[in-house]
Amino acid sequence: MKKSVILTIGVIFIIAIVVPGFIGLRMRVYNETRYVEEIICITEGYTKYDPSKPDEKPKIDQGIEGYISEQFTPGLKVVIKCQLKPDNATNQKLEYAYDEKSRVFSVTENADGTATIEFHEKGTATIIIRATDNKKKSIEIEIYAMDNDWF
Amino acid sequence: MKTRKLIFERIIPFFFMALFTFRLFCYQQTISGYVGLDASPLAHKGLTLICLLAIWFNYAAIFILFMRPFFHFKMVKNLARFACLPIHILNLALALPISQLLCGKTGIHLLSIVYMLEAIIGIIESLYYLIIDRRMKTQVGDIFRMLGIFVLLLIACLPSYLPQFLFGEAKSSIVVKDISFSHRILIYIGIIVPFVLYFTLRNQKEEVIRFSLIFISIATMVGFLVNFNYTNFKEPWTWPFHLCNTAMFIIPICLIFKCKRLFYFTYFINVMGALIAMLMPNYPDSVNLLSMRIFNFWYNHWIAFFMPILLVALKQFKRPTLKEFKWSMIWFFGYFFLVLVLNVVFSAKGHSVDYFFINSDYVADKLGTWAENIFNLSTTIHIAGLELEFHPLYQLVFFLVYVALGLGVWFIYGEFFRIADSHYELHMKLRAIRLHEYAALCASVGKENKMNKSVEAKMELKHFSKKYATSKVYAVKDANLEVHAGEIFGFLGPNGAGKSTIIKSTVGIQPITEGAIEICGYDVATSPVDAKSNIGYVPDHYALYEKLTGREYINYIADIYNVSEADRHTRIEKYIQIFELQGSIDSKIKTYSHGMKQKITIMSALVHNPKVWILDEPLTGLDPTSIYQVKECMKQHAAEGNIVFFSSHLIDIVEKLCGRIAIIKKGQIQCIKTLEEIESSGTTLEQFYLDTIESHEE
Amino acid sequence: MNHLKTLVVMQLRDKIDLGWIKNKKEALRKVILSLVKFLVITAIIYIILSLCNRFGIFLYDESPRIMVLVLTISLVLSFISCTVELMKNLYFAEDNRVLITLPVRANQIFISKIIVFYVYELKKSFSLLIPISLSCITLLFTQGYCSFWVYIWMWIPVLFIVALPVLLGAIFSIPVLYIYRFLKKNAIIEFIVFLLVLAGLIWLAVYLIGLIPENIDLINQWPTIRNSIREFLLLVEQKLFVMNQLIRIMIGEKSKGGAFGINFLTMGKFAILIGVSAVLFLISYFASRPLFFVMMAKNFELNKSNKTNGKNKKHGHYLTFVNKEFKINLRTIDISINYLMVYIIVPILILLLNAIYKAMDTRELGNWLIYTFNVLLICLPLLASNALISTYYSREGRAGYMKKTKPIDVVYPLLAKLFFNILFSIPSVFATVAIFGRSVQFHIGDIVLFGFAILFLHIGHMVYSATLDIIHPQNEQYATTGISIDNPNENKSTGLAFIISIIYAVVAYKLLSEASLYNNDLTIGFVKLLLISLVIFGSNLYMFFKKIKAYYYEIQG
Repeated sequence: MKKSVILTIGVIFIIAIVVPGFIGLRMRVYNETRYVEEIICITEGYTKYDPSKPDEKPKIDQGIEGYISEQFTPGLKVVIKCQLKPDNATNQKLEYAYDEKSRVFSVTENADGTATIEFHEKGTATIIIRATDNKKKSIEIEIYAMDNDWF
Repeated sequence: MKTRKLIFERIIPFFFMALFTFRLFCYQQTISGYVGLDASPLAHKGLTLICLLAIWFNYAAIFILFMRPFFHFKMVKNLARFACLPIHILNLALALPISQLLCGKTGIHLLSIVYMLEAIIGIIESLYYLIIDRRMKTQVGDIFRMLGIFVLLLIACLPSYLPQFLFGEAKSSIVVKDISFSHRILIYIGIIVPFVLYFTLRNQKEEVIRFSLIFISIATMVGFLVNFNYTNFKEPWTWPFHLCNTAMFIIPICLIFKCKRLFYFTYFINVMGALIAMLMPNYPDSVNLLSMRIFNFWYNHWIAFFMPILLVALKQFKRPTLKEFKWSMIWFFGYFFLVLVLNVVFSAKGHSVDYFFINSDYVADKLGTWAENIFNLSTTIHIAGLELEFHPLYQLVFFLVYVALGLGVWFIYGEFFRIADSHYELHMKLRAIRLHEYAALCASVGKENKMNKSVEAKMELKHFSKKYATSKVYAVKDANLEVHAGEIFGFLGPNGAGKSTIIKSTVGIQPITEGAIEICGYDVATSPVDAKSNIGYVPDHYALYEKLTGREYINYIADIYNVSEADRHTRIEKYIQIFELQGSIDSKIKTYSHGMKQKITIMSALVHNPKVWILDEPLTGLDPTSIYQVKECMKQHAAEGNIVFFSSHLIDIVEKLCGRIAIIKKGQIQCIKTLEEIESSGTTLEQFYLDTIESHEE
Repeated sequence: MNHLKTLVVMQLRDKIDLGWIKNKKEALRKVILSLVKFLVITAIIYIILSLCNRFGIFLYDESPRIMVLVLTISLVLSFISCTVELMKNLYFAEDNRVLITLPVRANQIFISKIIVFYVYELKKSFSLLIPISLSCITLLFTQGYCSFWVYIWMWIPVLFIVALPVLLGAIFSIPVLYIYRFLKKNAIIEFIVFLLVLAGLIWLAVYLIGLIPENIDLINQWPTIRNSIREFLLLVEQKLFVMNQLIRIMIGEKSKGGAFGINFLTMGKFAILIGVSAVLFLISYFASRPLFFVMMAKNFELNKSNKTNGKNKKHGHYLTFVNKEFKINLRTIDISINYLMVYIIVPILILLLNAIYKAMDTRELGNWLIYTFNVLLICLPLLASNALISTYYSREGRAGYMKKTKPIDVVYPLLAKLFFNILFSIPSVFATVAIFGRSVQFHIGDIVLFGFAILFLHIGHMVYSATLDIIHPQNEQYATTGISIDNPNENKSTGLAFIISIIYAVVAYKLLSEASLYNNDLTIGFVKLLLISLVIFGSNLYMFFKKIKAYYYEIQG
């Protein structure tokens, strides 16, 4: 093959790479952040309040989404685990808001993003679980640590 | 008789044309508004269908009658007398419902009267032709052919509203834009139809070609004019000045009146414009496939696209030179200026007009922002209270681009015509070869029984003549020669006498112009394979494959001649011994000396033990030993009952080797003599040769 | 001295066209054109390097690393080509037979050959090495990293640097010669070595292509990529010590301020360079020259084979043509190499192209462009290689006319010439299409359909090229000179190859996108492409037969 032909083919090869590279690529939005849309508590024993039940509706009205009920024993520990939707949210860190001065319970935030609630006495712990991105989606749950007498 | 002719073939047809033209424009048509037979204003669908077909056929019949006085070949005569009469009768009978369909009015009114009159004149003309051509013999086959042609003529006459009226709308999902499937089909039609027309018409008589082309151009022009009526005369801004619209008028005018200078405007400019329009149609996306809009658009653009090229291909106009290109540019400038003025004036008066798309951003929009930016540079001139808006830069660029495209298109046409010419040349050549072969076959058929083939070696030249394609002079004229088995025949002559010509024609390198050459009874022209299988040829310049070894080359030749393994082994080994090639037979021919290459050529010519061994100056450049070896081979070969035919300049060798010789000069064999005859006349071969050559020079 | 000059000029004329020297006008034109070409190349390289700098691939004062890389590649390639070419020219050249008869000393012949090669290498260096060097120096100069004197000084070391591959080539040509002679005597070993080298190169190419990662997010990962490039350049500078020093000789040493300047160290290194060149010259003079005299006489013997007692083998009446063509093609180096290159390089080219495409994250338009460019780059080299076919019949010279004297329809030998090509193109075409198909995840059926479409297009164009040669034979040129310098048939064949490839790629784009949009299945698109290819093939084959009948018999011998 003549040199001019080989050269032309070479030039076309380069064009074949450049053209799709310039006009064929999918556009990326660089600051695209996927916000947390939903936080779902997946701790065993977690129950959502049912708005159709007259007892539970007031709780929902107060903004409390659900509850966990445990039999109180001294040193009772409940680990709060949550699932996020979408699962590829940019910032998956959660923060936990609670009454830090409470004598009933204390909360330890774990490295894996869960939180451990340790009950010192019988009682209720109200925890707000919040996403740390700009949207700051949150849910509020209650954890009861009770005697059998109460049920 | 002359008076009759004057009346029926001039006055009435012209009146007929005038009436038809009047009829075309005298009403405002409503027929284009009906979609589907259900929408017909007539009571019965069947009646509507017949009326529509009658309208359609009527166009064809009218055009045939228009053209009949000017054309006189058999087909047009048959069409005029057989096809037109029933159609006009039908139209006369259905004049009222047809008029109702056309203009929406019932009863007797202007259109219906004109229509009936038209039909009556049509009947009169058809009867006239029926009578004057009554003596013409017509067979059933002619009638069927006529019907076939009539159907084809109908295609050109199709009214654009007919499909939508008959079939309603096509599926709305069919999009006829953006190179979709249906769009492509329509483009392909525009490419295939001219080819079909070209191949059908190119071998026809001039009259037939002219008739066909004029018919198509007039029929499509009228089909286009059907969209207009008398109201358009008052509204010049509705006149068809778009580029492709002008083609509809220019082509028939140029064809009928042979206006050469005007024609090339369509050739260079219109064709290109039509192509661009076909690729980027300006109807909306939602236009229906069967609608009138589509048929108007495509018929218009097909004609504008292929008719100019077809006219040049069918030699109605010559291939353009620079002079024609200049004229076309002058016409284009005139057209451009005209539409520019019309556009600005009519736009200033409030009518939305944009001929050739030069006064709007239609084209700029498709090209991009840069074009739109150029378009936006406008100038306004105030004349007689009118605001005339120009876009000078855009319009100038538009004009120049079209001129450049015209040049480019000229080059493309040149290429296409070159290809068409080469195909035509090929076609004619093959035809000539077929005729030649057939003639030779006929000549040899009678002789086949007499021939006793493949037994005895024989070489015959019978009135052999050869003329090269590029020359007017015969290289060899009327050569006659017979060589028999066991002869060594010498062929002498000066350079350029025709020795190599005779030899090359015998072995098949050159074709025979006249006469015949036979080898062992086989004609070299009609039975080349059989004849050549009996020939061994040693050319004047060795022609070998240098990358093969000597042995490989000889085996290759032996394969072609179907020599058995045993035979070739015997012969090859024999000749290796004779020519002393033991050390080099298995080396590549590239390494051989001149003498060795010549020896290999000789061996390859003898490996199949041919009955006729032809050598063209075989001893040139050989050393004495090699010459001796070759001479011995020749003697041996002749002694076995074969023919050795060779040409040479070495008279001594010819004298010692040959039994008979021939002397050729300036393409003619001067004499054929045996060596004994020459010696008995008391002279040497050399003297005899010189005397023969000189005496014939005088 | 005069003799030496004459010898050099005489041999130079053979290698480079020097006809323009005598004609002043022509000489001026040639000089200006060459100068313009040189400046344009330098300017383009300068722009590319500036852009690289803008993107942070290297800093201005790191430009010498590019020079090191380029010098390495240039010298290695020059060394290889010089070794092989010198081996051929010193020991096997046909003109040795003529030169030895001239009234000159044999030493002078040897030195003249070395000088001729040196001049040729110097000329070649103006195409790449010197423009890149000048561009790098300009980059340094414009940023104040070197002085103007470097422009003037660099030409002096360049003269010696260019001589290095020539001298090394002369020395290394000796062992290469012995290897070459050994291989020539043992054809089987030569073939095996050739196959091994070829397989090795293919494997290397495929391995390197496989290293290209998928889905490179060029924009987000740019800092990582940029750093890798800079590290690589640093490695180049550190590992290629000798080349680095040669560059330092050209541009000077780096001072504490970062600027490059010529100092005593530079001069010292330059002296070493001169010394090394002299030593190499002496070694080649004393080692190669004696061998040169011996080999000049002996080497023509290699062509002669001492084989005897070959066998007389019979082949079929028609197969014999195919057999002959195979033998001739395999023994004709430029034909074999041409096809080998095309049929091996095209699949590798497509593999590389698709590896790069996989690294891109493309949207729908991008995917269609990928298909289109793949079709274009598959068709283009394959069809362009058919230009050789348009010289096939003419290459036979006068032997071509002899076909007409044989008792067989000429169509068979004419078609047999194409067999070799068709046979070797089949695996190449299917391999290429399979590579493309797998990259973009076509079904097997679609790959097969597309493979046949390309194959028929290729063969159709092949037959067209052969037809060109039948209609416009150049037998006489090949018969007298052995070559045809500007064969019009080749140009026509190449031109049409480009046109067909581009149109076919556009048509493929349209048909495949339509098939995907309306049928959700590309198969119908491939079927249409196959039909188009079959039409092209069929029409060309038909015209081939017709044109043989019409024109071939008239070609006068």
